Amino acid sequence: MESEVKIYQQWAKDVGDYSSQYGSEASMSYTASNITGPSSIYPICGDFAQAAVLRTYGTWWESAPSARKQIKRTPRNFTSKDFIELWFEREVFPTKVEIFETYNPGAVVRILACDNQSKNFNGNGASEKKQLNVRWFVLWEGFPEAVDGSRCFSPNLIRCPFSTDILRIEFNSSLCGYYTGLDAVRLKEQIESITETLTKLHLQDINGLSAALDISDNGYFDLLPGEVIQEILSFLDLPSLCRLATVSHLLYKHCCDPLQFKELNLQPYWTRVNDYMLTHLSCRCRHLQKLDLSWCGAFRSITAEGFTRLVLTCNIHLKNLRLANCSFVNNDVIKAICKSCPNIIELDLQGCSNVDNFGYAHVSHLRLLRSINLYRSIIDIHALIAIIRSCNQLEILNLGSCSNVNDFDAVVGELAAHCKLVCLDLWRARSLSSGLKILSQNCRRLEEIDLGWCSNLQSNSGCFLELFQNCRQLKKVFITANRTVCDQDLEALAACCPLLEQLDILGNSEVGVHTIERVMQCCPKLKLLDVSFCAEIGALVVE
Amino acid sequence: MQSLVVYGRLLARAVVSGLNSEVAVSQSSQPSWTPSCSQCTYSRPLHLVTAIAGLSKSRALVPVKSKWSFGDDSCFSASQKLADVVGVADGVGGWREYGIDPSLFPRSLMDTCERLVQRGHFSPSSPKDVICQSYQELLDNKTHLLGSSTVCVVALHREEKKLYSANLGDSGFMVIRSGEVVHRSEEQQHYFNTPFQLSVAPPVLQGSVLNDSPQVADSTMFDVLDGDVILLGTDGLFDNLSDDMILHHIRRLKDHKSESVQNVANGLVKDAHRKGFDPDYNSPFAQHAADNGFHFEGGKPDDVTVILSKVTEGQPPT
Repeated sequence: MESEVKIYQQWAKDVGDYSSQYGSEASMSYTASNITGPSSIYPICGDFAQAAVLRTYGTWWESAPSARKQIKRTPRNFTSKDFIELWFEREVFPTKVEIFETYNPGAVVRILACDNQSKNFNGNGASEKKQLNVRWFVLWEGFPEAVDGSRCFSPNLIRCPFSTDILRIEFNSSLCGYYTGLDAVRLKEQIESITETLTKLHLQDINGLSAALDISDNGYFDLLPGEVIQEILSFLDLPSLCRLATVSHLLYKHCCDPLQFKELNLQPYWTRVNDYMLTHLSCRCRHLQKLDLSWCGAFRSITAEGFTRLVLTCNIHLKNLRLANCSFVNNDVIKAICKSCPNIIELDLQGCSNVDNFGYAHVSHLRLLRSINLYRSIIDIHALIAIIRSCNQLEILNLGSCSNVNDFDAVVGELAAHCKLVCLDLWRARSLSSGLKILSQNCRRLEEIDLGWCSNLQSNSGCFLELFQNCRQLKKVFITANRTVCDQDLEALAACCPLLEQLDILGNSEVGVHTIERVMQCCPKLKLLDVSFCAEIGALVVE
Repeated sequence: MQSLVVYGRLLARAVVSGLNSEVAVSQSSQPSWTPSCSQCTYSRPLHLVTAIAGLSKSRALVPVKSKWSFGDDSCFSASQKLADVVGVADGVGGWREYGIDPSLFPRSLMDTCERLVQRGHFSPSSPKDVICQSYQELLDNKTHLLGSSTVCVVALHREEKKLYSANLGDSGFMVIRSGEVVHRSEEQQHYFNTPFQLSVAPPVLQGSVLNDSPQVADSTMFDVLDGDVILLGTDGLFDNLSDDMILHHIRRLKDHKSESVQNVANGLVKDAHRKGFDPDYNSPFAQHAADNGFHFEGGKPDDVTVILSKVTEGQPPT
């Protein structure tokens, strides 16, 4: 007998959040929102403005001077670098997810479904501060790969125990030879399957395991000196450390020792981190130096208050704080961070959309700040200049896609006057023009500069010539889609910057093959050279 | 005789392309649709029944590069919840001398406008914004697309029953009510036969190529009624057909059916194209030339694109 199988399918309706995109904030070319709606490119393969494109690919950004050190105890199986969160019209039990990849497929590493109660509370002021129970379920995970052409990626999913209208797709494009292009995502439900028994969910809740049992026998561990036990424990990942604490009193003592928690990377566990867990962790965080909570706290699973309590226990020891795409970070949180942790040297606030100028004003109290990431933040020029003036130690600054900064010349002028920058990201700083000259005269230590899509920089003003002649340490130069860069500029680059490793001149039609050859001869360390969409140059050369 | 055959095939191609695309996107021209007056109320919103027709200047049989491209002309028609939007763009042919296909720029411009409307990045009351943003999107594309184009975009706000327009250059539109022109766009020219234009030039030519900001587009607003006819065309139409000739064609449009609208649009294009190649015809273009002290005789051979829309009461059929 043939049973009737109904399939309900829907395209993504909206993008809730995302970690990065190639396109500019105000545009619809190469932006994350292009992933919504029905497929419009597939099965054609190519680099189209209509696709959603991530900001990076390959390992180039991790080998650039601005790359960060990995936090200890980061599990190897967490490979996600980027994510896009998708909202759908109707809640379904997902039986199939189809991801239409139209350029350099293979970057998808995880697909997660969200069981979210907060939408029932939306717009209700009283529940604003209430922490909500948010569950994430991994529908599929795998390893990144490199695939040619275009494809419709539709892996076998683990059956989801709840219905959902929110998916998160995580990406790792490290194996992609170039930017990956995403056309659309379709969510399918096979109606028949709902009636079947739901498989029971096993959540490994690390906070629930930290309560120790009453076991007095410590086995042979009593024979070992504490330092040796500590050393052994330092090789464990975080869930194992928490689970081990339940074995015996001795191990509980060692596992909860604040010295084991000098570095804490919770990003790999973002689906399970909530206020309750942070409360449990906070008593072990007295000596915390590095904390990564990126991507955590979606749908108010972490509240501003919950995180602030943790921050108050961290103190002068905290040096590195990474909070990329954390929706709980608001002005009060920034204030608390800057008050209780004055020694922060690295702060990552990319994609924190709930912080405005009043929050960023507090950042200027962090006098020791060496690195700040403000990619896709809504900081404006006044708060930014205040930070630059008071944080003289700044070396690494990411101002990519800061769409509220309307006068980058003024910003760059302040940078030139107050900081000795090493790495500067000005991706899509449309208002930048004459300021670059002043910067290159004062910041001669520059090793990395991203001027991609700064369309107002005119080569005939001599800005590129001066940059290359003054900053001879340059290792990474991105002048993506600046149509004016000419042979003369690159001749200067070849002559002055022998340390060059990465160069991007995409979309340029002035530069000839001879100049490119000269750059390759004079810069023996050159590893990345992007000359796609260059009219004068035939084929892409990546060496 | 042979040229007639070629001509006929070209036209057929144009008609087919116009009809097909129309059904696919704006869905406002299904042949089976007839207004049912029993449901008519005073406050019923309006929509457009639209037909597109066009012919390339070249008499040789050139393959149609994409839908809705006629020589260096391009156009689009798109709908969203609140508005029906149509637009034309006429590429500047001078780029051929630099080895650049002049049709690509207007084609991309129109494609982008269409996407902006469909994706909801569009306010019906400010078609100028859609031109500005479309131009910006071209600059944001990895491909450095060179070229110049005039552009005219018209949007019907269904609820407000108002027609909003933005026009840059010598393409244009007119609104015809009861056989008379009641509203029209103004031509924007730097000097004779040199219209205002959007352009993207290579760095070496910057400064020597005309480049008007999309902000200088002329914006208008006009209240429309059921039965009004909106005619959008490139200069190939208006340079070869006088108002009287155009009105003569429009008078043949008696109903709201999409076939009728398509037939009249085809007739306009055919007429303008034929007159353009008539060396003895005293065209509006020749008259303008004489007014400006130039000697020019006959019609003006040019690409012709026409978007003809009938303002119709009720919701568009889905």
